[in-house]
Amino acid sequence: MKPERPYFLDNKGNVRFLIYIFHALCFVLFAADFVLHRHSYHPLEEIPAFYALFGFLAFSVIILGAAMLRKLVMRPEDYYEAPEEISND
Amino acid sequence: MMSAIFANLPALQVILPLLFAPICFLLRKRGAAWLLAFCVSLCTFAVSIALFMQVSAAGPLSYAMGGWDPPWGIEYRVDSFNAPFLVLLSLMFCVTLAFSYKSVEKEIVQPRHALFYSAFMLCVAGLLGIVITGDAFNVFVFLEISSLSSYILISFGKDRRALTAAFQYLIMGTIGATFLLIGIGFIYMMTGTLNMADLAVRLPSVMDTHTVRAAFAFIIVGMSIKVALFPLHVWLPNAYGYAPSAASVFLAATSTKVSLYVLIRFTFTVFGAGFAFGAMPLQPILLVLAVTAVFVGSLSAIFQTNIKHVLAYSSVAQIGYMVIGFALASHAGLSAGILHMFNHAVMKGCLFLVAGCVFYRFRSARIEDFRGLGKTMPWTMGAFVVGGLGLIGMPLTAGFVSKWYLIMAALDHGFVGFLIIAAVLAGSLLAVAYVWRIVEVAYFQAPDEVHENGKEAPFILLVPAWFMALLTLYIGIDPSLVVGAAESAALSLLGSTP
Amino acid sequence: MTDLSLLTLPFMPFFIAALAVMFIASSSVRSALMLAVPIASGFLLLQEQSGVALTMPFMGYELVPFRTDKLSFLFGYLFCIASFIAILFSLHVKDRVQHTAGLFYAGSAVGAVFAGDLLSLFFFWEVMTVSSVFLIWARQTDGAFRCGMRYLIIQVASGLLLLAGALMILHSTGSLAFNEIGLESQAGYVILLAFGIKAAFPLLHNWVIDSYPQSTVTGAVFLCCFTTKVAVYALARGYAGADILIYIGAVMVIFPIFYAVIENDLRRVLSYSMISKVGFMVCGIGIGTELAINGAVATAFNHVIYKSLLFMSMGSVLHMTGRIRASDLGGLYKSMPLTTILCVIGAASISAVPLFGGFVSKGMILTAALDQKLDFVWLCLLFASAGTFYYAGIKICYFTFFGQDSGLRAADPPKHMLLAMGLAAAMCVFIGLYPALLFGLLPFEVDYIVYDTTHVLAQLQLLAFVGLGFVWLKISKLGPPDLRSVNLDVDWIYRKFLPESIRCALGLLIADYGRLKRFFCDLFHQYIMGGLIRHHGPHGILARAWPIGSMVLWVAVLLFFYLIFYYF
Repeated sequence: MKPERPYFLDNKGNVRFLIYIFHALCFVLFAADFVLHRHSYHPLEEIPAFYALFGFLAFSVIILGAAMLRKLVMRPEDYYEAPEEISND
Repeated sequence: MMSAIFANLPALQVILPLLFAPICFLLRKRGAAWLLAFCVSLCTFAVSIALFMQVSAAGPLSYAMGGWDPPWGIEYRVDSFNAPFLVLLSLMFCVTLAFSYKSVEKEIVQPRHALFYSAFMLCVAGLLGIVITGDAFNVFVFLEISSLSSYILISFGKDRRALTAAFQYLIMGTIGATFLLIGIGFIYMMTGTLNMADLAVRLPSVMDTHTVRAAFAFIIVGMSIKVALFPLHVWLPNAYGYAPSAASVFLAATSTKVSLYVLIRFTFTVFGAGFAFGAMPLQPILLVLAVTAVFVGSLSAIFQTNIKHVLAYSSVAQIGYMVIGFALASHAGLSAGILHMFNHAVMKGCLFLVAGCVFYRFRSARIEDFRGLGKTMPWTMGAFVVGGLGLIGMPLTAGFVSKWYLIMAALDHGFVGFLIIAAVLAGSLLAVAYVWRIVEVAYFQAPDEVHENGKEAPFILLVPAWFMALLTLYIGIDPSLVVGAAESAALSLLGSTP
Repeated sequence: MTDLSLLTLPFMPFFIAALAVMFIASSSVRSALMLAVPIASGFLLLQEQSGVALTMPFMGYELVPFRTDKLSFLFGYLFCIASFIAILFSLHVKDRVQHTAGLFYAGSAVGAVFAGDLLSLFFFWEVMTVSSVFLIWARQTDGAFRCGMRYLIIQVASGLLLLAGALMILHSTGSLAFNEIGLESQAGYVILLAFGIKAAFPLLHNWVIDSYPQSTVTGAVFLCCFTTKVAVYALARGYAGADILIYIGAVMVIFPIFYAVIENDLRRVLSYSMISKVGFMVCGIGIGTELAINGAVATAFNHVIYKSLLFMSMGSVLHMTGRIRASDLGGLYKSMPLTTILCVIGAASISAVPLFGGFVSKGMILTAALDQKLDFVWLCLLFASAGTFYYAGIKICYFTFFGQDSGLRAADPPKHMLLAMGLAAAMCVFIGLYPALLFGLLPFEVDYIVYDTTHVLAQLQLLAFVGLGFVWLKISKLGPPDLRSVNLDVDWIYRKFLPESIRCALGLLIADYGRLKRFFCDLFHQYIMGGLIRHHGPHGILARAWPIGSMVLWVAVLLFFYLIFYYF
């Protein structure tokens, strides 16, 4: 077997580059809130960059909530019955 | 000549199979015996149709046996309640015989074939007699004829357990019949008559006596045994399960229904609804037993490993539905109960015919035998699916029509009605479990070596099975005929006021 | 047009083909026939006009098996498209039972949305149930069998409740017509429960989670398209504006998010996501304004497209690699580039990225909630949108196609599967670019501008910062790992709690009393372990052939009781 050619994401540098781009994008969107007019229907929406903050906050809540939920409901895979190997079709 | 035949139709209905049964036995030859029986069944069916038409055109028909006028002689009475039962019985007679030629050949040793057919004809004659007669004692006589011959039919089963099953049924059946006889004796003692119509006239004056009450109790309990109403159902599964396929088809489709017929006949025609449901607390007792029957029967069916037993326990549950309808004692309830008696006969007939087809191929009808049948016996399984959908009560099958009318009837009864509806719906849910379990086995489990090479059942066995399957669908799509019959039957039982 | 007959109704091609498929051995003829079915059905639909009704007498009632209006048409077209995609995706399957079941299932879904009375609705409802269970059983494992049985029982229970409710309505009003039902009568609640089971209301939702991941690769695509959407249709028709639905919907959008995040089986993640999305629709129906209903229906339309796309891409992964747990997958973009792109499009659509289908409909329900001053509901929905992006957008794509390389090198799936996925992806993009086409199908006039600065900017910010959170989590390596596990859900009640508690209760009865205990222990243990089998099994007390003596005893007991009752 010939060795696989390296794929795009195998290169750490590429990944780092993508992450930079993404951070830049986030910053642009955050800043856009102060430049463009965003119509608000609800008092909460008037908070600057409300949606950005809400998104980040929601994500944190989800991760923390999920971690707690996992403590509560996670059981070994054979809890009900022994798992079967998944076959195709 | 023709007019003589038409005048004596009620007598012919019973006499034909009764008379030809011994001849059938004397013929000895397998083919000849079957042919004779089949011809007789066709004639019987024609007679029953003629009677049905006559009754629906001209109203009740009274026939004095041997020219002795009732109430002294024995009266045969055909009204809109029993005419459809005559049709049902003789129809099942034909269908079973069409099926039995091949099936009996496989399941019963050769020299006994003629005996089987003559016992079968006697059984039919007995059941027809029970239904048609208007004389209380005559009911007992025919009950004995049909019971004794059905013990014989069951004991023909190849499985040795068939003998114990038949013996058990014999004991229980005899107790049931004896109770009936005791009951009839009591009312005869009080009124001095045995004619049902006459009894209905004379009984009200002595209604308040202990004797009549005891008579009523004896008749109800006695017939409950024959109906296989919970908790007196235990004889039924083995009797149906170990009997030869042809016999189980016929018995499952008809025998408990006829017993229920007797129960209803005595309750409504002889004792009267006012006495049975007014003075006596029949309704709560029957409702409790029937609802229990639905659950116990269905749950037991789920855990059976033999298809015939699954179907037999399902019968116990379905009898529960019929008794619920009967116990509601309203016009709607009674017609729902009677309707389900017909519909269940058709569906269960279909399913037992399918079990017979499978038995024909594999000499047993365990659930394992159904593995892969979806591929190897597609037509057989097709009929099973139709019959099974009927039992569950899917729309466009006969079972749905029954469920519909039963629920509609229960809605008139307030809170009790809701409980009944819940029981009926839970029963259907359990039916899904026991029917679809078999469907899954048939369509998704790979057959083992024995069953891999299974072939489709012979055409001649498929015809009756599919006839019943199509009938299930026909009733589901256009129920007007059956519903009409059931409603006029209920009407005739309750008098003119629905 | 009055020349309607049963044969030209749009569900008929499905039913006829379903029967025909059983007997066609040649796979190319079969494929051609099956693909022609949704097209024929769609063509029949195009011929019909709004406001038509076909009546049919049955058991003394006038049934309306076919009745058209804008709401039905939308779902009708949707189901034709969805079934075309699902059929195309499943062409490789040899098992004819699955094809027949799939066609019956899709056909009855089409029938259900045109049913003008409750009895016809019940009929299609039941056919859907009975046929769809085959798609689960077709896996042919023991687990799939038991799961199918659970699914079947729950679905049939829904059908029976519908029947009971229908009869109660018939009994009190004398009419079976299926229009606005409302919650004024008991019957209304019974039917709501029936619809609720199919729509996977909280606590009734478990069948989705249990069964969809258990079905076959292709079966899941069928399943995800129809059952819940028919329920959404039925709710929209019968309970539009019922307040209780708002709150049910709000719970429904929130709780599955957390489960989806910790779930390892990716098809199960999609199932949770489906409940959450159906929650959006239920909420919209509950709000009940024209905009909200439009939003709910449009969400249903988009949801079928992108959810089937996601199920197809996960199905392809399962089909090609044989694995579906997030912990077993990763790095598949290397060998499955096309699947990756298609899946990303589906994920973009479900996350409501602007220019994709999901964005068009999502905002409508949120705006409607704000219009009605339902602030809390609005926040819930907003929270759910953020969650959706994480578990459906990021988790599905990232863990399967990117992430830690699992070393799996499976090729892209066969052409017909890619084609089916491509079709769905094209529709996602197309609706995103030309929302007017979808708006034309909606039941009410649409007065909603999709692409304005406010909506686009808000949504982009929301998505970007959820993404940012994820990136930081990954960089800091704090993220919750994907673990092989089972997560308890409502099914715990009937799969564990009930059996266990019966066991415990009986266990408590047997305190420690030496030999007595041993005796009872054995007795009870046998009693309990077998559970019902003991009672009802072939040798169970209630199913055993009793000795004649005890049978006769029963006769005597019964007679005694009758006599007692009759005498006193």
